[in-house]
Amino acid sequence: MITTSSQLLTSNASPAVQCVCCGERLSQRDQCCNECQTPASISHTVSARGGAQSFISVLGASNAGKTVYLGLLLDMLSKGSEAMRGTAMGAFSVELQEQVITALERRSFPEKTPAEADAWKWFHCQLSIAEKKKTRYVDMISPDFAGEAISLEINHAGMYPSIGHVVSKSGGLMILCDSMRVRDAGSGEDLFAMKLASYIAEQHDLETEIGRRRKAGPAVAIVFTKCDGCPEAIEAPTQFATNNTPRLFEYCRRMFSRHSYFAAGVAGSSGVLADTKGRQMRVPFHVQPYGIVEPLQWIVSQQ
Amino acid sequence: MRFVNSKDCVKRSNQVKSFSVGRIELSLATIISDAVGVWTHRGAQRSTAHALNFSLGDVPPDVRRLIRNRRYCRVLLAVEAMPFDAASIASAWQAVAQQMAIVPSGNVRLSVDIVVSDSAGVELANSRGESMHVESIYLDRECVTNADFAKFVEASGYSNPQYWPEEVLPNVLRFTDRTGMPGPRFWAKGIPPVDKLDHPVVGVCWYEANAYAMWVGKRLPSSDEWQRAGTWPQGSTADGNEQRYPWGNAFDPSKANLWASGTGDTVPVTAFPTGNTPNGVRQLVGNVWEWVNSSFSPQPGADAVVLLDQTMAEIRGGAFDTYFHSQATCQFRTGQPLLFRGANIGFRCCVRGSALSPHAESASSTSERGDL
Repeated sequence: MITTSSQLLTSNASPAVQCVCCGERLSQRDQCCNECQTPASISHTVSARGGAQSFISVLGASNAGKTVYLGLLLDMLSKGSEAMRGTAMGAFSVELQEQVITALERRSFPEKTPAEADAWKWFHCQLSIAEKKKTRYVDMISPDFAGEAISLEINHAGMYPSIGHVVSKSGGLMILCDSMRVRDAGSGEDLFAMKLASYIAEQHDLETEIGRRRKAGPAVAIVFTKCDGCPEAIEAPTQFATNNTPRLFEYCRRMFSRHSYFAAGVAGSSGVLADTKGRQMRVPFHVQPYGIVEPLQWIVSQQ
Repeated sequence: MRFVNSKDCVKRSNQVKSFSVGRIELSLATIISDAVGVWTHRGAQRSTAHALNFSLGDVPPDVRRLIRNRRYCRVLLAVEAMPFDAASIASAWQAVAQQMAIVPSGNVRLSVDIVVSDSAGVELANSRGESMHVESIYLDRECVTNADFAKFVEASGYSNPQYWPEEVLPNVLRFTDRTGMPGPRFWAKGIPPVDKLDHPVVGVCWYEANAYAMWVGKRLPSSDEWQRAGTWPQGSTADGNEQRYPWGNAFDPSKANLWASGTGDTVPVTAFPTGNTPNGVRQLVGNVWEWVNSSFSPQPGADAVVLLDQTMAEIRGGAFDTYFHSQATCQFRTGQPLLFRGANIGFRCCVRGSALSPHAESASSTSERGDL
């Protein structure tokens, strides 16, 4: 018997639900939310299971390594130990993982994430965390934001509503900073990361709370990436932050009661390929992840 | 391509041999250490003594010391000014047979990375190089352990300029452990972690690996020699490809300490025995990357090049933190800067058979046992 697409739609029809990200009502035929582009299947999955969901999002400047970080994190979680394991929910969640792993194994980095929100790859990963007597489940839901979009959104809030919705909904956030740019390229990375921190504080109404009794706010992990080229960050991430991102360090100290510094890397060693057209591309010569899961473990422990 | 300075190293090594392995000098050293006592890590003594399963009864004390310190090749090197007696040479050959394996001569194909530029961008393309002939060598069955390297540190190897190329001498002062003492990066107070004496030494740069190799009368294998060691027992497949791992073509996490094995750290050099080559070379794949005596730099393409921050030496075999097993095959080549002292890079040494004094009895007994 052949099932037509209309029959399939009817048989699989779920009751209308609200978008898990922005609360917009989704019709049964919506593939994704019209307001924030969140895939409707995430909202349906979460709604069907019930219980609390937790957003954990990853922000950073363009080329900070967000896509690689997220893709490898998903892959590592999917192969994780009993202590923390992740299960990708839906094929779209595997897409990001596939894109990153395929590229890394070929010794290249994945292509840049497009700035258009409808082209971002979302992922929904259910984490199971073994605790003393029971297993705790946490949903990790986030799009792979484009760095350019983040930059535009923090300068002109509302341009990319999905970013605002996800950030305000996130109980844990990671700010990714390119450690080599932090070390070698002046104050730009420090200032941009501080703008991001300020945006997070704003979305969580922390800046208006100064002088009053402060909310706990989200758990914020500041992750220095690409550490294969910056051993100083691996040695002592907090000290590295104090010395090289003093503005961000001071802002986080004042604004977030729960924040911590980490170093992460994916490549064992890397080099830059260059051609006569002036194009340059950094490639990993081999892959040995470092510090990828630790920031997430810390965030989960804070919840 | 090999480093030009490696030839210098060999030349210097030969000078060192005639200088420091004179029997009178070593006998004096023995007398002094017997009278005054030289600190030796008990665990290190135990580890080496355990490794030798033959008697050194008839061997003079200085040669006994050389053999116990795994410097038996110094007894056998043909360039020595004063020849050693037959008993010493026989014992040294026994040590060679026990601690090293013959890798027979033959052909290998080194893979070649070429920088390619096209409309999509610039990338690394991998291709099979031409078949090249490799001479036979004796290769250490195991990577150099912390206990082995401790002997080099005790013998003031870091302060002996003859083991270091001139251009790196200013850096040797920075080759210190966590407490500022000469030694591998992750040691403390000049001694290895007690619970890791039989683990491969890590936290040593390419120059430190070479210095140790010279001290024991050996050298680092070249890239092609290393690959031959991992692939010769299995031969080639019908299409001319070499086997990917010492045990075959399919990866098995129970045979090598890579990321998939889940240990997250180095293990003793005798662990994962099912991954041995048939002639008993252990952990060519996994546990730690191994420095080899070849430079690493992808070949420039027609209109594209690779820009490296520092000169790199090649490393082989993957380590406990290598994520993709496809990057830990016998063919995979990558590199690290010469001065890099990582927690996942060790080394093993080799020597060319023709460089050693022949010893008919031990050579024939070795071949009779089929103990390559």
